[in-house]
Amino acid sequence: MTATNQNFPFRGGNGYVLLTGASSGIGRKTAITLAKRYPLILCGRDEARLAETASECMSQGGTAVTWAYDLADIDGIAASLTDVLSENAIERVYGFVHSAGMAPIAPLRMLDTAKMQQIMSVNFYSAVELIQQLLPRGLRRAVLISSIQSVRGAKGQGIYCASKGAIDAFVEEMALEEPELSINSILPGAIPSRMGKELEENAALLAHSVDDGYILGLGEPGSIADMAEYLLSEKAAGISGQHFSVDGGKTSH
Amino acid sequence: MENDYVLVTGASSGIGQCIAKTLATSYPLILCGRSSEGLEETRRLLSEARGADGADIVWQYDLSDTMGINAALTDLLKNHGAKVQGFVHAAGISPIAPLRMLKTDVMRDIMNVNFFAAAEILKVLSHKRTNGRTLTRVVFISSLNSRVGARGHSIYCASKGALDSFMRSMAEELAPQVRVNSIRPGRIENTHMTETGSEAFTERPLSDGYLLGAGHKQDIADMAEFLLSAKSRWITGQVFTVDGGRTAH
Repeated sequence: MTATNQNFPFRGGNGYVLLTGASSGIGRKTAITLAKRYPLILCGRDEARLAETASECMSQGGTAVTWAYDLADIDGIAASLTDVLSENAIERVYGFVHSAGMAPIAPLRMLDTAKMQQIMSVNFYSAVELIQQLLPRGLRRAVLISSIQSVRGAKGQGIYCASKGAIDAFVEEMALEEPELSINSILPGAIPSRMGKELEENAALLAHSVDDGYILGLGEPGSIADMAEYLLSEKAAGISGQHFSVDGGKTSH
Repeated sequence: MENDYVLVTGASSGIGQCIAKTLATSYPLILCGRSSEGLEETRRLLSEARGADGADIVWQYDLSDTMGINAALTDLLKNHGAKVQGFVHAAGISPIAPLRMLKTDVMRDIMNVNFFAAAEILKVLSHKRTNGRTLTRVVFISSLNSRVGARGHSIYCASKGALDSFMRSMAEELAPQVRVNSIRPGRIENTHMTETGSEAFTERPLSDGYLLGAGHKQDIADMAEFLLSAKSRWITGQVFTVDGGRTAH
């Protein structure tokens, strides 16, 4: 089924999907889910964990190129990406999934300017830089992982929430600005993961217990990966500028 | 309390200036802006509104330099022995910048002025040693464009989306001491968003869909005044859309 997939416009070396945050959590699970359909470029900070993701993708019969890079350094993104693409003779990148994110818990008064800027760089600016680089390389689909916290405040996470709000508003504008691009965001609820664990450890700072209001229970990375796969597929060709909450019913009431 | 200030950014022109003028008879103000000429004009408008000179403080500062905000504002408050009870963030820039032509520094400038400056200032004003527990109300001027895209303004839209999301977090984090809300103006006549010529980037006139016609700066200033007043005492974490019906349909 995969080898002759009609839904795949640029098969074989031409239709890559670039994923950020691919070394863990939602990003890794999304990579493994997409590996059967698309050749992948996996971006992450931790080279060893990135290699683990790549080998899991390959065990699905997929192709995966790794790009170890710290997206906090937004000024170097264009050059580093260009290197990776040319080293691997990749000309076209069909899809982009931005799953990189950091969510340190700290009240505003404990955040310094550099930390605030770092959160925004990893969570939002890097996606802007990458989409800008990928548009002339044939980008047709972009899926940005936001958070339900872009619409629900969270104590101790002001800048994280802001970065996700920035993503959502950016998505709506880009849908207008680039009619050839289908761009959407996914708003996951709480997903137990490495990042989720850090949240739980700091749960004393939160006003509610972590699983409050999750009608279907807490999520798992696979539910986000499945939504991302759908939004990259031909089925979603007519959808752009939208936000999809995948949150076990958390924001339905 | 009566001598405590309200800090207004973007006070040298547009919506910020109109807000300052509207608040003049109720509070002493700290006027933050980039242009000293504009700030002087605002000062003149305030004296006119009051019929007398006030105790206003002029803070001329370029908010795109976020690294310096903490020190500059802390010093300003110390030097004047001033405490701040309310904060209105109306500063904003909106250069036309389609993504394909966007420079990284322009992206940073837009986010710094429109969003990060608000976070940096709020941090100073909620610092006990600097401002005690004087701060009780915060109003961010967001934009309809945080929810409705404006072609050629992706980062502007994002900065306003950031502001809205940040606002909700701060409402929770700073409650019950501080109330935090934002206003989403639609298209307002004679402000920077209408002067950028963004009409060239859209297929339809920007005035389309405004059931009550185009808005005026005063429409936003009145809402800001309300959100700073005791009348809004049970309101926090909310977005107030003031857009002449543009998003009603």
